[in-house]
Amino acid sequence: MAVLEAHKLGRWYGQVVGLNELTLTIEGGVTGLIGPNGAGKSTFLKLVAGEIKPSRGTLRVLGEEPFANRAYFRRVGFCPQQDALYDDMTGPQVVTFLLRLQGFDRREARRRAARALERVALTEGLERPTRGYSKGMRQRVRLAQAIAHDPELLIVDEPLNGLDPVGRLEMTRLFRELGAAGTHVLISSHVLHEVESLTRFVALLHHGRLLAQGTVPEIRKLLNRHPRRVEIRLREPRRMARRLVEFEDVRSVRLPEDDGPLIVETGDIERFFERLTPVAAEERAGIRTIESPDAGLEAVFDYLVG
Amino acid sequence: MELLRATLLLFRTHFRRLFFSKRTAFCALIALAPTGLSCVVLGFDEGPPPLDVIVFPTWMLMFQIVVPLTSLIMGSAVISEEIDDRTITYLFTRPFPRAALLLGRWLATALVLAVVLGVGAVLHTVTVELLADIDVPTEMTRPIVEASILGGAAYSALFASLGTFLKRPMIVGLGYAFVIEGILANMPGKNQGLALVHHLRSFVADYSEHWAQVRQGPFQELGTAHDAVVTLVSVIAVALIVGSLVVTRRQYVVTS
Amino acid sequence: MASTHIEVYRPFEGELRPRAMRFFPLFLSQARVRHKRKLPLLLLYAPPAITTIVFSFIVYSMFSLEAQLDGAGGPNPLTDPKAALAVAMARGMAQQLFEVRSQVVEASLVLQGFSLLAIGWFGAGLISEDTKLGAHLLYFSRPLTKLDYFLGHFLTVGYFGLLSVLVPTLIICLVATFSSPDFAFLKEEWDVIPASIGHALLTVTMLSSVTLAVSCLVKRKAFALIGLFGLFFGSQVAGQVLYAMKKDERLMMVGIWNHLLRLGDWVLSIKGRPMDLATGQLTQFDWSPYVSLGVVGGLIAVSLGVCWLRMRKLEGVG
Repeated sequence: MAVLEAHKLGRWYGQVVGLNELTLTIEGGVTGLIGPNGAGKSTFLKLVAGEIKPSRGTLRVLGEEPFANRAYFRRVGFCPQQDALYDDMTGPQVVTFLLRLQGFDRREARRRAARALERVALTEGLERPTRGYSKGMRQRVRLAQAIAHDPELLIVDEPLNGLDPVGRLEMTRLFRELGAAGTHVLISSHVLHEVESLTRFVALLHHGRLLAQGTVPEIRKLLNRHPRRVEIRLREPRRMARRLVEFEDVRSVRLPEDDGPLIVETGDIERFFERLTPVAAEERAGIRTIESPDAGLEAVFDYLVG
Repeated sequence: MELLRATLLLFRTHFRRLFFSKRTAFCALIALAPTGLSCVVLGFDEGPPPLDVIVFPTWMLMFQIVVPLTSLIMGSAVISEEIDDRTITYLFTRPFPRAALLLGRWLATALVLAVVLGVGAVLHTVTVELLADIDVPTEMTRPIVEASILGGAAYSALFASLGTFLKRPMIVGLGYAFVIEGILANMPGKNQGLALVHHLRSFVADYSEHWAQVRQGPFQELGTAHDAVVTLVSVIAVALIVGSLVVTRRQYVVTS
Repeated sequence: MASTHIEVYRPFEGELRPRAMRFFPLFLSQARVRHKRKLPLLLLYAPPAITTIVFSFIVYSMFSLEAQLDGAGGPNPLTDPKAALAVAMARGMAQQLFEVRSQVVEASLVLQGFSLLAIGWFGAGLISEDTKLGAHLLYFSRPLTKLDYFLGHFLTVGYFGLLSVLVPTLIICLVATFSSPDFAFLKEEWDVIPASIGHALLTVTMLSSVTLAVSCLVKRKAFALIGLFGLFFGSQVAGQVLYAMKKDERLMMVGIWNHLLRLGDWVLSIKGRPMDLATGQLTQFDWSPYVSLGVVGGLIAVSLGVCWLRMRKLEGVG
């Protein structure tokens, strides 16, 4: 059974459309939700978290309809984007209180709170009220409250905001660990290379609509309009270029200026690589490096949105 | 998590937070207004009869300004504070009945108000006793304290309920408490019954003849203490039921 | 490889002059933003508009019902019937002018109440919302002094206050001027115009200062409104309670609003004239107006002091 099934999901706020005709299935694991500002990511996550209900269409997560569903809330953890905490309570108090509302008794709630804060690497300075915490500390408290009750599905909206590079590394590691341990994670972020390092499966939103879903290579393959770019650094670029222009799938070959790479654009990257190696050996081209700069998520994102 | 358990948990947590807050301190200050006024009046060489110093400040200041104002400050924040602070997201993605948030926080508010207003009323009486060197009869003091506490509970329930569906409950509450009630309660006729302050006055006036001097003009037709209690308790019940229904069904969209 | 492109830039050789009246753009933008929401404007200015129309109509009809004065002067009024008629008509005109003046004064005092609502609504959130959102940091990271910041907000709230009290009063005076024969209202009762302006300015200054002071002290507009209305209503009720107990009119001085009424009466009251048919106080307060002036002045001074101290804190970071 799929973890999430959305069918023609729509949500609007008065005249403003948050989501429109979104149909998406997420099987499980770690899924990245990406899109520019105003794409509808937060709206989608709020629907999945059960904070709001759809204006149109259906949404089932873990087999349930999320809105105001208490049984569902036991299985889900939500870390919202907004920087909001109970300013007069300490971090452990906030997490403990929310765990008590989850149904745990006092002792268990305290134990779980301590463990969750340790997992998010927040162990010092906790005796102050949260109004005295740094932005990174507050973000970690928000994350801690989302994972403390060991949810089946973790929903995180821009979790890396406010974290320094070390903190981002630690959080990314945490999400990977959770994913490996069987927790489904739905994560929205602007930091594309970090989403890419977390997961292969992404859903790309734009103007409230689903633009693409799948693994990054699969999505890239579908973008026929944009030939794949390959940059090759080699000893004999001219000789190689003469051979490469004969390939049917090669759209263009650009000779390097000075010490730059030979830039090739091809419509079929797999066939290109199959034929490249023997040709390079024949020509004794002396290939030093081969890169495909537009294979990544950022390039896919740019092609789809730009 | 069932309703009662969740309500008690929220009540305990928020009572601790509320009791030591600036909001409570400010309300306590307001509740001392009748006491302050009495000190001023009894400082004159030719002061009014001592019981007047209980009657007039209670009738005009305590019931008409202090009780509604403190209840507004505390009661309107029950749900709206969670929305404004954007912490409602954490609560409404937890497995407990949403109505528990309203009930638990309102209980904490009502208890804090009971302490603040009760102490204010008692302090007023004690101050008059000390400065005027008299004994204020119990049949005056006890109903004032009870009416203040009950009034605080009723007003706060009303404003808490408003907070479940209004964006600015404090402003609407301000209009209601000072404009609408001000007009309804001070105009002669049956419409006085629509104002909560009328029932607070009816409650105290039924217990003692010392209120006779204010029972003039538009205040001649007052109800009985029993009717006042029934009305106030009904207002509390209806407000909380309506508020619970609204908070259970409504979507609270929090902006980032 | 890194590179620089300093050839693009020329060194600055002028001097940075501070722009005068930096508070003015702040006031304009605040006023513009508040004009965008139509519902509060409608609710708060409909009553003053209706009041203006009603009083203008009363004033106009008072003049239009009377016959015009027909070239006075010359014959003895005691013997000549025409002269006697002229004198009687002059007396009637004086009486009429007096009544029109009373209407203008009455309108001015009624409109003050609406100015409290308008000033409260548009002014209570000015500084409190800035503090809550941290927007004051945006202002103070620019070359804006505390004074500019304060004046910008003060002008904003004063503008909305004057719209509700001064503009209607001047409109009524204008109607009276053009309705009266030979602009008699302007010639005979000209002093009510500067008096109305002065009183309106004093009222708006006091209400604006107090509103901004309360707004400085809290972090939410709703609290500021409660503080503002609580202060005025609470003091009025306290004054009434004290009066009810002691039956001493001087205790009404506890009510802040009563001081504005007393000053209004003093500044706008009818002066004694040979043919005055009625002289009387518009309010029942008979304490010295200088006491009220002192109270109002003191309140303004305290409010400005509170604003200044709070803004010093806002200006600093952390």
